[in-house]
Amino acid sequence: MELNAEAKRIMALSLGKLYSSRMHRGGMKLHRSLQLSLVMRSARDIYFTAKLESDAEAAGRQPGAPGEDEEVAMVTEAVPAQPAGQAAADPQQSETGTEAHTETELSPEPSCAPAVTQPLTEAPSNVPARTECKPKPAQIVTPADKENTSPGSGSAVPALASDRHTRKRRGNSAAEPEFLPSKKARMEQMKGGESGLHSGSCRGGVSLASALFRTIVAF
Amino acid sequence: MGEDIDTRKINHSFLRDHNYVTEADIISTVEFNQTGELLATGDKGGRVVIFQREPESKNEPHCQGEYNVYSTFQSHEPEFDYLKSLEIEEKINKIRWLPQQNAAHFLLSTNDKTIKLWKVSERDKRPEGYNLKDEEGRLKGLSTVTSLQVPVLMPMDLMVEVSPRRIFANAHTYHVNSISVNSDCETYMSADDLRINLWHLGITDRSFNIVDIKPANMEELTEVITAAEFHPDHCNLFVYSSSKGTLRLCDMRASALCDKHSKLFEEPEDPSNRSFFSEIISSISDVKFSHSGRYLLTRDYLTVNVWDLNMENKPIETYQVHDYLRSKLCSLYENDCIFDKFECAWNGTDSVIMTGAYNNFFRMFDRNTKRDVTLEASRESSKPRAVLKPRRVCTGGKRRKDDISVDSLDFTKKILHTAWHPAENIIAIAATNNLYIFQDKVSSEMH
Repeated sequence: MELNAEAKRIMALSLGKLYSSRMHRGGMKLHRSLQLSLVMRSARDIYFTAKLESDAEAAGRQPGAPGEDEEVAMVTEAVPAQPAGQAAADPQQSETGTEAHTETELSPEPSCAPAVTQPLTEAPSNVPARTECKPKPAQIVTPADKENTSPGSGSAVPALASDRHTRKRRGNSAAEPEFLPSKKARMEQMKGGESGLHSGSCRGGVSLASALFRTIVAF
Repeated sequence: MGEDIDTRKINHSFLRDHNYVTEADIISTVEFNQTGELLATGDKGGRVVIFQREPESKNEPHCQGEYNVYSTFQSHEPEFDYLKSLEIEEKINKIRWLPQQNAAHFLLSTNDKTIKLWKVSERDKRPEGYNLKDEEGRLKGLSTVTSLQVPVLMPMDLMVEVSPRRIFANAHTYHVNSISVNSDCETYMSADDLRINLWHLGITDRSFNIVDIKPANMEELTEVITAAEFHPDHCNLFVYSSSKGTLRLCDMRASALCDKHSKLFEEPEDPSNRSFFSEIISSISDVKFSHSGRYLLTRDYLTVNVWDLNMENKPIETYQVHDYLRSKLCSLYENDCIFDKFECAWNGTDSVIMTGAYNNFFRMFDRNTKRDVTLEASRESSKPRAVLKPRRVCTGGKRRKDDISVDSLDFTKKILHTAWHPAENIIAIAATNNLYIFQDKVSSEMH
């Protein structure tokens, strides 16, 4: 379990570094961002492996409520997804909006953040909804678009199931980014909800890890 | 390399250091020219300082060959990319000298986006006795000119003039990390994270892309280019290193786009060393051809490796720079030190290799005797003419006097940039904002 906590800590640390690197003079360094994403992937894999083991144990003891987890999972994915989109902004794109959006990563980023990276190693539980979220490379959201997207407006956003969930939950999640370790309550909630390994409900457990990974970019 | 390790034989001269603490003064690159007469440094503030070695004086044999400031100029200024709303740092990433072809010296300097060719020339005479201008340069009234004179060249105080001859801009989307002059002395290449461009020194409005590893879908990006260099003799060969720890040797005769390598140098990863950070510590931060052109020297976070161009599956030599850090990678990740990019250097005969480390330590490895030494570049331990004392980092076990424990290493004092004189045992060490030049003098009394 220490490995699990360590992996989580490293993921949070890496995310912090990724965000702060956007403030660096000279812009984001591609190499450094890539290295951060590699570390996060390693941490995610280890976290995921450990999680699966503990889920397997818990599965026998506590059949949970998948639905809520799924929604939470959706939010967790969508929330960091925008920073991914931001972080992913190719150097060719303007990053004017990025600073403004660093803290507002909770706005409903469209279609699960078009620039969300598909994890290099697929998580075993590949939920259909998530697949829908798979971005087309052409759909990179420019900061201009983000500026035009106001919270709550649905028109600019493709109507995917996940988005509906995202917008619905945004109010709660606006308080604080969920991927930070301080959200213990939610983590426990997700933990309690674990059931199968390969069903959609399991996403609650792996969503944090995979969501964190997704923030790492496609540049 | 006996003379370097044997402290009795070493005399070092100490160059003035710059005692500023501003970030702009942090030295970001160091490079000797081909003769070793000139040494150029670039800093984060975009300035280049050139040092020149004083000719040896027969009167004072001990003062021979000290380096003094020859010229200082502002190479790059901060710029702003309006399209991307990004600031372009003025930090000089690399300096490379061109082989000297006439009285003037030429060097290339680059920041993240723009490469510039500078001409460094001396002026020690000036014309005097103009007909139409007076001594201050003001135009004379024509009525005062009653006779004609021929201007004469008169000696003046030596003036070093530096002027930009070419500016090679707008060719790189990503950050330029390397430049390398070809042995043909006509072309050079510049490498950024994903692409390498070939330039002609005389043409600034176009370059040829010779390597492009940008994936069609950026989400599939797995590695970036970290360094690149031309072969010292074969103008068609160059090598580039990647963040995955691989080296690729490319032959420009094979095709216009050298995406397909001629040779791939890669050592399989040791599975017993796997950790969260295995991938990032295997990233190669610097690659250098040996002077002979037969070997390659690479630096990753914990080791330096020597590769034989004829053997691709593993390096022929591996030297541990600071293996005691292997158990501390997590802390080094937290304080960002794990991302430090150390350079490496060959000596003139390719028998000794050198690289920097933390706590202002730098390491030298003798390839023949397999001996290594750790030395420190600091004002306290380096009085002029003082002998550098070998240092040791104790990693548990028996601790000797003057050993430093791993935990008391100062990770803010890092030596990333070092250079070795092409022919003699003179080394230039950049320690943050200070430049140290150490010379190895074998005393005439010693056998």
